[in-house]
Amino acid sequence: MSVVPMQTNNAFHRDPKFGRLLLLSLIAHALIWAAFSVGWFGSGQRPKPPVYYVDLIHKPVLNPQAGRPEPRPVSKPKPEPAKSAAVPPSAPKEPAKPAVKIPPKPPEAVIPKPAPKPAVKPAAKPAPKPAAEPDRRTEQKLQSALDEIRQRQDREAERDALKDRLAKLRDSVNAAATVPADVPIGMPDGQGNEVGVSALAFVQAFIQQNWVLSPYLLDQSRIANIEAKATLVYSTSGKLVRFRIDTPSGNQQFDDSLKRAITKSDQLPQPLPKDLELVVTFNLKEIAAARR
Amino acid sequence: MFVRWMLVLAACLALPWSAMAATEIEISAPGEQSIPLALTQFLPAQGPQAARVAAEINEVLDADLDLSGLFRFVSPAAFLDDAGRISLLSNQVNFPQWRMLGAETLIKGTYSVAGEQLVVEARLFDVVNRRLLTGRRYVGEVKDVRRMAHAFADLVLEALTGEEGPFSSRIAYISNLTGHPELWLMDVDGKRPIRLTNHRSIVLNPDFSPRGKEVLFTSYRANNPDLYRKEVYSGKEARLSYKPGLNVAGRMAPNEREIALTLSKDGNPEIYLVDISGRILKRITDNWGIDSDPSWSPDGSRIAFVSNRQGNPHIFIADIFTGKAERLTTQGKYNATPAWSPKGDRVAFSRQEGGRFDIYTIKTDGTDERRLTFGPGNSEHPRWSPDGRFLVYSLDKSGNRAIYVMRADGTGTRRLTTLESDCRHPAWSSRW
Amino acid sequence: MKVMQMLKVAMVVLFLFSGLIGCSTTPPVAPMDDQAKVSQADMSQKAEVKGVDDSSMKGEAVPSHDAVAGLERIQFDFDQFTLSEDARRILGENAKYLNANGGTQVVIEGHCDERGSDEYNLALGESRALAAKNYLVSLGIDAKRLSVISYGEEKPLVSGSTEEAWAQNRRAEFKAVN
Repeated sequence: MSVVPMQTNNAFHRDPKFGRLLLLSLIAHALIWAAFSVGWFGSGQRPKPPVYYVDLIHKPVLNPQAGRPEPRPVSKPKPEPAKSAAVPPSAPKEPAKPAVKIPPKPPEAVIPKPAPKPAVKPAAKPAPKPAAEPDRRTEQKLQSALDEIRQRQDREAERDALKDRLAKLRDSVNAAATVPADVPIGMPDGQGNEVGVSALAFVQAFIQQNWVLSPYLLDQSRIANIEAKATLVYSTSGKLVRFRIDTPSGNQQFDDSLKRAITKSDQLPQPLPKDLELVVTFNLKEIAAARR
Repeated sequence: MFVRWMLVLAACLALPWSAMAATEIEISAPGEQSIPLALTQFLPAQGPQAARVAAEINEVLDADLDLSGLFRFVSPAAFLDDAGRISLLSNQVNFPQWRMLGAETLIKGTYSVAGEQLVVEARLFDVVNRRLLTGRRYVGEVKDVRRMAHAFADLVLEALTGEEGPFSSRIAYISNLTGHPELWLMDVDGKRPIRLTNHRSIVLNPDFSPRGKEVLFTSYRANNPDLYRKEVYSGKEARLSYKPGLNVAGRMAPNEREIALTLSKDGNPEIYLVDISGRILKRITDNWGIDSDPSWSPDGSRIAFVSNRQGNPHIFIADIFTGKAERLTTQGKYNATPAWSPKGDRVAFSRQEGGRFDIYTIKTDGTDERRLTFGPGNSEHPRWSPDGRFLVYSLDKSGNRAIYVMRADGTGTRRLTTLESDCRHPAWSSRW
Repeated sequence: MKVMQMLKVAMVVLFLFSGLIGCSTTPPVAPMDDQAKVSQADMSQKAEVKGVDDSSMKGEAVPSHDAVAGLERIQFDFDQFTLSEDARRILGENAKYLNANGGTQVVIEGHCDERGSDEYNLALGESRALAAKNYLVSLGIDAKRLSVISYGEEKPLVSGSTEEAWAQNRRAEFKAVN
C-alpha cells in the first residue's frame, strides 16, 4: 500500500511538464488574487466589527441603585414603591419610563443651590452730591461721614449674607438627612448598588422607541382592547437571538408593526448584564386613555 | 398609570433574575404614531426627462399621503444616493441606507414619456423587512398623470391599512364663479374643477348616487325648486321631481332604487320616498314642523334628518319601514345638515352656537358627541369620504365660502377651492 | 497524471465559479414576491367628464317677477314662520288690495337671513310663504290666485351681516305672475 504513493511521487518529480505546471499554478494564483482585488467575490467592503459605545449613565444593570447614591445611615430608608403588590399611594407617580431617560442626578444636585446672594450694597445709595456747594470743608466732612456709614453698612450686609449662607447650608444638610420621597435618583425599582438603569426598563424603552404605529391604521373602536404578546430572547451582547409572536392581535397592521419594531430592535445599543428572555405585551392602552 | 405600575412590578419580580426565566413587560403605546415615509422623486426610465410629470406625481402623492395622517415624511434633503437610482426591485434597493435615515416605508418610481403616452411605475417598499409591499404600472396619457398618482396613493393606503384610500373619487359642489350658483366637480385635492351645469338660475345641494357616476341636485331653472339628476360622463340631465313647492335635498338610497327628498306639496315640508322617476312611494314624516335634509344609513334602513318638531332644529333618526322617529341630538339649539358615516357608526352635523356653525359627530345612539371644528368662521355642511376617513365641508373664514377637507377626527384641515368664488354644498362621490 | 487531472478539474471549477459570481449581479431578476405584487392599470379614460362651456347650452334667465305695487312684504323672527301681529295687519291690508283687484295672480316668496343652514332655510322659507298664503286664504282670498316659492337664503334683500340686515331679509314678498 505504501509503495504506490511513493511511485506517484517519483513520477511527478520526473515529469517533464513540471515547469509548465508550475507556470499554470502561478497563473491560477494570480487569477485568484486578481479575482479578489477586482471584487468578484462579493463587495470589497467587509462588515465592520460592531463598536460598542458603553454609556455608563444608561448602562443596563441587574441591580440598579435605588433612591440616593449614598444613603445616610441617619435617614430613614426610602419607602420601596413596588415591593409589595399593594402600591403605597404616596409613592412616586412616574416610575420606570422617565427614569430611563433622565440620568441619575449627581449628588451635588441634591443640595439646593444657594439662593442668589443678597444684595451686599444697600439698596438705596446715599444721595450723590448736595446740589449746592457752599463750603469745601463741610463737604469733605460730610463725605467722610458718609463713607463711614457706607463702610458700616457694607460690613453689616456682609455679616448678614454670611449668616444667611450658613443658615442655608444648615438647612440643606438637614434636608439631605431627611430625603424627600420623590427625589428622582437611581431607579425607582432599584434595590442594589450598581450605577445604571434597570436592564429591563432599558430594553422596554428601546423596543418602544422602535415601535411605529399610526392610530389611523386601525379601526378606532379597536384601540381600547387590541393586544399581542411576543417572546424575545436577547444574548448578553444585546443581540436578538430569536423571537416569536405568541398571541397575535389578529389585526394585520398591528402585528406587522410589531414585527417591524422587533426587527429594528435586533441589536441593543448596550450589552446586557445577562441573557434575557422577555415576554412583551403590546397594546394601545395609553393612547386609549389619552382619548377618553 | 396602571401600565407603569405593572412595569415596576414586573421589574421587581425580575430582580432575582434566575437564569433565562422569561420576564414579562408591557408596552402600552408605540414610540412613534406616524410612519416615517421616504417619498423619492420619480425618475425618467426611458424617453426624455419630463420635470412637470415628476413634479405632479410627487405633489399629488405628498398631499394625499399627508392628508391621510399616517405618515411622517423623511426630509428629502437627507436622502442619499439610492434616491437617485432607478431601482424598483426589492433586491436592488439599498434598504440599509433608508433605514439609516429612519424610514420605515419607501416610495420609488419611474415614468416614461413618449409623445402623449405616459407609463408610470410606482412601488411601495417595507424598509425594515426589505420587501415590496405593493406596486403598479400605470399606462395612459400625460394628462392622466394626476389620476395615476391619486390611484397609487389609494393603493398605498390599501397596502398599509387594508382599506383603499378615497383619493381617486371626486367632490361635487356649488360655485357662483359664473355669476350663478352652478354645479361643479373637482378632484379630492381641489384640482381640475369642471362645471357641469349651465342653468343660469340657482343650483343647490348636490348628492351622488351610491355607485353610479350620477348627481342629484336642486335647480330653480323652471322657476321652482325641482330635483334633477345628471349623468356625469354623458352629461345627460333630467328633471326628476317637480311637484308644486319644494323638491329639495334629494338623496339616493344605497339600493339606488329609491330617493328620499323633501316635498312641501301638502303644505308643509315633509320627507318622502320617491322612485327614480319621481313617483311617490311613501311618506316618511308627518307632523306640523319642518322635516328636511335626509341622510341614509349605509344599510338603507334608516334616515337621519332635521326637524323642528320639538321647537328648535335638531337631528332625528327615522326608521324607513315604521316611520318611527327618535331624536339624536340633545345639546345645542340649532343642529342641521346630518351626514351618516359610510361605516354607519356616526352622524356628522353642524351646530350653530354663539352665532357660528361648527362641525360635530355623534354616535347613532346619541352618545359620544365630539366637536371637530373650533372656528373661526362657519363650518357647515359636512359630508364623509367614501372610506369614512375624511370629511369635506364649507367654511367662510376668508370671506367667500370655500370647500375644506379634514380628517374624521378634526385634524389635518386644508382648503380645496380658491377664494375667487363662493363655494359650498360639497358632496363626496363613492370610489370613482 | 492523476494530480494533473485533479488540478485541471480544479481550474475549471474555479473558472466556472468566478464566472458565476461575476455574472450574478448584472442582470437583475425580480424576486418572485415582487412579481406577484405588481400589476398593471390602464388609466386611459374611455369617457371624459362632460363639462359645459358657456356657449354649449342655452340657459334661460330666471323669470323675475315684479313686486305688486299694492302688496307690502312681511317680516319674521329668527327661525320662525309664525305670523306676528304686525304681519297679520299687513296681510289684512294685502287681502283688501287683492279683493279690490280680482284679476291679480300672486306668487308669495319666502326668504331667510343668511344664518342657519342653506338646506333647512329652504324649508323655512317655504313655511313662511305658506303661512302667509294660509292666512290670506283664511281672509277669503281664493287659494288658486296664490302660489308659493321658497328661496331660502339665496336672494337676500340687503347684503350685510348686521341684525338690521338679517331682520329685513327674513321676509315674505308678494310678486305678480303674468
